[in-house]
Amino acid sequence: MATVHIPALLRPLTGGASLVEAAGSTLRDVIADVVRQQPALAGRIADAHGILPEIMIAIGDTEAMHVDAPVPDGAEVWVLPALAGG
Amino acid sequence: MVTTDKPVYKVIGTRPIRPDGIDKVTGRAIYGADIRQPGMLYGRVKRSPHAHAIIKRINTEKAAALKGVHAIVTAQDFGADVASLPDVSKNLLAGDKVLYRGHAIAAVAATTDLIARQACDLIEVEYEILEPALDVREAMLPGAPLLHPNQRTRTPAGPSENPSNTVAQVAVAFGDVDKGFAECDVIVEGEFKTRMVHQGYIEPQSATAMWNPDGQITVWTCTQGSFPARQTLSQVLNHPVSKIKVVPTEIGGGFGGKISIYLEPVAALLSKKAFRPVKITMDRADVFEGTGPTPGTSIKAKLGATKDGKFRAFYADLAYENGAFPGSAANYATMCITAGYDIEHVKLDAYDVVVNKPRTQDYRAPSSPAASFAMEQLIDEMAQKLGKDVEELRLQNVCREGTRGPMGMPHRAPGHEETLQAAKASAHYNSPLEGPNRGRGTASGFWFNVGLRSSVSVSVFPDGTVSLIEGSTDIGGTRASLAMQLAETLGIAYEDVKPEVVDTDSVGYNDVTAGSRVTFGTGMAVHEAGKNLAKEMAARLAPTWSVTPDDIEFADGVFKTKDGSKSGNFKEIAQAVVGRGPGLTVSGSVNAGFLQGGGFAHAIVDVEVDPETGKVTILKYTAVQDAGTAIHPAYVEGQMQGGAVQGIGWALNEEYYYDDSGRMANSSYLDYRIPTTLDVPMIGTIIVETPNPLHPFGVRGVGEPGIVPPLAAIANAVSHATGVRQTQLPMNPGRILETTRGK
Amino acid sequence: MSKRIVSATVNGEPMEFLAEPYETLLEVLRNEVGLTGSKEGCGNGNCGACNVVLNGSLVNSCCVLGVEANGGTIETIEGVAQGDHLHPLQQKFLEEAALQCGICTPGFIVAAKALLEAEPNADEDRIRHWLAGNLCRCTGYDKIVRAVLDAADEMRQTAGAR
Repeated sequence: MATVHIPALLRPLTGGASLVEAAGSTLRDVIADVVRQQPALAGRIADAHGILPEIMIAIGDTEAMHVDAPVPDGAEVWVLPALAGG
Repeated sequence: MVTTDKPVYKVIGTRPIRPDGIDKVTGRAIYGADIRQPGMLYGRVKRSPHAHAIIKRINTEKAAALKGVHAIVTAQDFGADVASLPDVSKNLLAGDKVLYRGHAIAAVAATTDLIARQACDLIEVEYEILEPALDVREAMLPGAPLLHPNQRTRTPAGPSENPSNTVAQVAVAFGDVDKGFAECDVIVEGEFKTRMVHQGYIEPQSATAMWNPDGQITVWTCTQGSFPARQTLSQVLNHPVSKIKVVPTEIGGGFGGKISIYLEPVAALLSKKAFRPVKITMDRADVFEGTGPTPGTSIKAKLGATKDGKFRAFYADLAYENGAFPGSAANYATMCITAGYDIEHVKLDAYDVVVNKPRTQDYRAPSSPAASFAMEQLIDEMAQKLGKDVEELRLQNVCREGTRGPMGMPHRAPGHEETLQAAKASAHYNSPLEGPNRGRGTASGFWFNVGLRSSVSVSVFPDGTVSLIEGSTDIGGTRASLAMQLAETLGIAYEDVKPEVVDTDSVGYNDVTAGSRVTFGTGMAVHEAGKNLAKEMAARLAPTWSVTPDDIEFADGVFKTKDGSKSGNFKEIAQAVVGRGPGLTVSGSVNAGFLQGGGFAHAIVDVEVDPETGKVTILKYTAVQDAGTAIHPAYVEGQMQGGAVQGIGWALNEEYYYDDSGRMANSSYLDYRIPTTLDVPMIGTIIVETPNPLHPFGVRGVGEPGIVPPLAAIANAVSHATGVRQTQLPMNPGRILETTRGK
Repeated sequence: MSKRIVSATVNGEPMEFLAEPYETLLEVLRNEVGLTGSKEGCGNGNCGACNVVLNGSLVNSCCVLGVEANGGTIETIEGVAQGDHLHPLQQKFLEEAALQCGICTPGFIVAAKALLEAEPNADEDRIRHWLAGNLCRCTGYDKIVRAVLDAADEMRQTAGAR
């Protein structure tokens, strides 16, 4: 199981929930489980091409660059808005 | 790699002359407006005089009949139902409504600029004028004029029942802020307001487009990102990316304001209709009224501490105006306002609101300066109430490795403590400030740096020198810093690397030049390419040395066999393996992602306030910033000084001065007066180097944090000089007099 | 034909070119003569990016009509270097990183050159006053002022050595 942190911007879609406990050994599986529990998040974190460009995901303190990234048991998964700057 | 001892570099840390320098000091460099194409027509955009109106009818007949007019376009030419056009298209050419004065409605291509202007005047537009929403808090109220009648607020509890100009309400909470405040001995609070300001780049936008009959589109433009520009062109024009080539010219400043594009698709559509190249150049009023200034803000904030000085709780209600179309500026603010400190209980309510002003864009560290204006003044106030030295108070509460960061994830090697220590130990901070009406202020600021995607290729010339082909437009000297990193990687001289910025057909994908990412991210791609080149050269070298490639090592610029019997330096070997053989080109590509840490900046400023005129003179300014590793110290200093002076202008004088109809009354450099040589002293710089563990040379992006502290540092200085805290920007003479009279 | 013929010496070279009566000298230099080194930053005399020297005086060429140059001499950024010899100002700007994006650099160099030729001993205060008509958004002016001070120093030494 992984603890998935939902960013403030997406919490309106989870009824305010900021954490979701999700099962899966890869990021793809974990996201699928998150969406299963919170269906309004479908397509808001990743789609068929991978992680959405406006989203960045960290597993622990390392950024996950693709959905096949492994998620160790007990990991913290951070779903965050991608921001850059000027 | 984390280094505790600073590595000894050969090229990194030196100050060579930039390769594009000679063209820039002789006037030969080609910027956007300098582009000439055979048969070129001149384009001009017709812009809305009204801040808020429904477009009833556009009649282009008279304009089309004018001799010399070759093409006219409106939103209809995007080839989709205008009501269904996405926000980006609607900003390029208005759909059924104009949402700010300056909003583009139509464009004309003609044989001369004068004819194009005359034709624009002949385009007849029938408007139904609507009341504008111009103040961020007022625009949030029920009953405010609605920009987008179907837009509802995204709230934590779901979409709002009624339509609203508030795009999103973002709630962030850590700990229990009510409990936190209850435990505090001292609470300070304030309400802070800042006005919309512009990045003020001296070069107005200019784009030239040629839509060839075979469907190939070429666009020459001064942009911060030629690949993102290509992407937007493709989406808006519904045209394949592979048939669009964006050629970046030199760029005369961006600071975030040239990330989005405004003219390119319009010029392309005109070219499609006219069958000739079309160049559109904005004039200064267009730049103010028709591009992307940065949000005005309203922040109510409260900070609580126990009497020993430990920050325990922080609350802020932040409202940011995003201009005419939805954005995330307030959301960004929630990610920086507490970034510098370890505060257990935090609650933030952030509101992103649309108003009848141009769609806002990034200005260096977007949202962070206004956030710091609030936070760092509360910290200053707190220090006064507790009778503590303000830098010591900051250090007492500073974020460290593992402190919860602003997005919830722990900080890694943040560098704020080192930056504060450097400030506290500086000659400026420890020098006395004497004289009446004088005050000293300090402030900190933070911005992220991202890595994103970069791709470069490196080719070997027959004389053993190398070319570095990259796609990151150079807005501050990155051609030099990237050449330096390649030279360091290969162990060769800086002069032996020839960098060039090329078009989107000629190099792999490069994300935008922004987010302080080029020296960092493209630097990683350069490092990668350098390693690939060494490997490729070893593979070619091996047979001539009668060894296998695994027997060859490359270090410190020298190839040698493991047993040391044969060796040669890079240049010698490059000449040998290229020589009469086939050419040698390799690439390096990285996706360095978003999570690349960030950097802290700090400012110490001394001011004198004239009690009769309210004028604030900056007596002395020291910018302190953590650069990780300063590749080219003079360019790092330049970024720090540039950000500082922009912040000085923002703090003391700059604002979009709107009248009640939503017209910016000061859309020229006369009345929107940015700092001149007379407004600022020399800007002292202290570069701190706590290496970034995520970069091969320890680099942190430096372009942005410098603009964050000056607003609060100057406000704090004015507060100490006059005894009155300034909670509104700009702190121009009128405001100073208003607030200090009789005190 | 509404265009007028303008005869002027541009960077030491006698030339003839055409100008509409309403065109500014900046537009004519850039579009007719093909010298794009002078830039338009504001179009109304506030930023100095268009600085040229006309008949010996520093002007904002966006506020001068092209036809006004008839019979006169014009010096632009393109004429500052002598062959492959950079002017000390150009050299110092490069060495001291006094440019970032470079768009304001031609205006600054033309303006600073005019100052140092008239006032070789100009100090920081005088330099800041003179250059207040040239806007820069990238550098914060620090390195520009230092480069001008150092160029002045070098120019005084060269003059003294003669």
